[in-house]
Amino acid sequence: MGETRLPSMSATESLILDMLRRRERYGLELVDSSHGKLKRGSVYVTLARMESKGFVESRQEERAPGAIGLPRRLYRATEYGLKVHDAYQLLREALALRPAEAQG
Amino acid sequence: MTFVATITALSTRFLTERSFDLIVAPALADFELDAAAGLRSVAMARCSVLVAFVGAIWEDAVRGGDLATFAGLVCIPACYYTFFFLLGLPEGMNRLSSTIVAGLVLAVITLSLAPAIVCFWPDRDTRNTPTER
Repeated sequence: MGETRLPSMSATESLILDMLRRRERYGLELVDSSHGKLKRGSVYVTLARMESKGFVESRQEERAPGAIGLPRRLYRATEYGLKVHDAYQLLREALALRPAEAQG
Repeated sequence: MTFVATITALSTRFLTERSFDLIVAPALADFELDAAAGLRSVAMARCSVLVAFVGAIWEDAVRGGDLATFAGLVCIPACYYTFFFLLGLPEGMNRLSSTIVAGLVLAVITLSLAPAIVCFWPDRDTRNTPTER
């Protein structure tokens, strides 16, 4: 019988989902608003990984005809991603409790 | 050849289209944006793109589960050449100077790694080259 594989979420992925909760953003926006926690070189690797896991979705920006250069990508959190994020948040809070606190 | 064209050409050769679209292309778009706005030093901006490119190669290797295959392809010639060199040294490695030993190690690595690298990555799908700047 196959065992259900639980989704994993790193602290960086959790931070990105926090920032994408309200609205969609560009990768560069995420880096700028992370106060140094996200790096420009690696943010797209993390976002691609998150997209594979189904935590985020992305689309190319709409551009005016004749615009020069490559189009940027806009990212937004998925319902599933936010659900996993919230579950991990609860888990982290629960595991951070000391035994005395847990007994209430 | 511009930096953007060089990275795109390397991506065409070594990366899957998915990794290019999701990792390298957005990094290149940021690079172009920076260049147009003059916000960051060119060296720093290029460095970010190169980090993204290396990350994309790593992602392709890990996601494809091909690391073990690649390691195997490197190990086979490495074992062959090591055995070959040891046979040629009846008195063992102890009498050799450290420079020669380092040279032999380098030769084994190069002879093993180079063909594996060349053979490992097939031609990827061709894609449109971005606008030259």
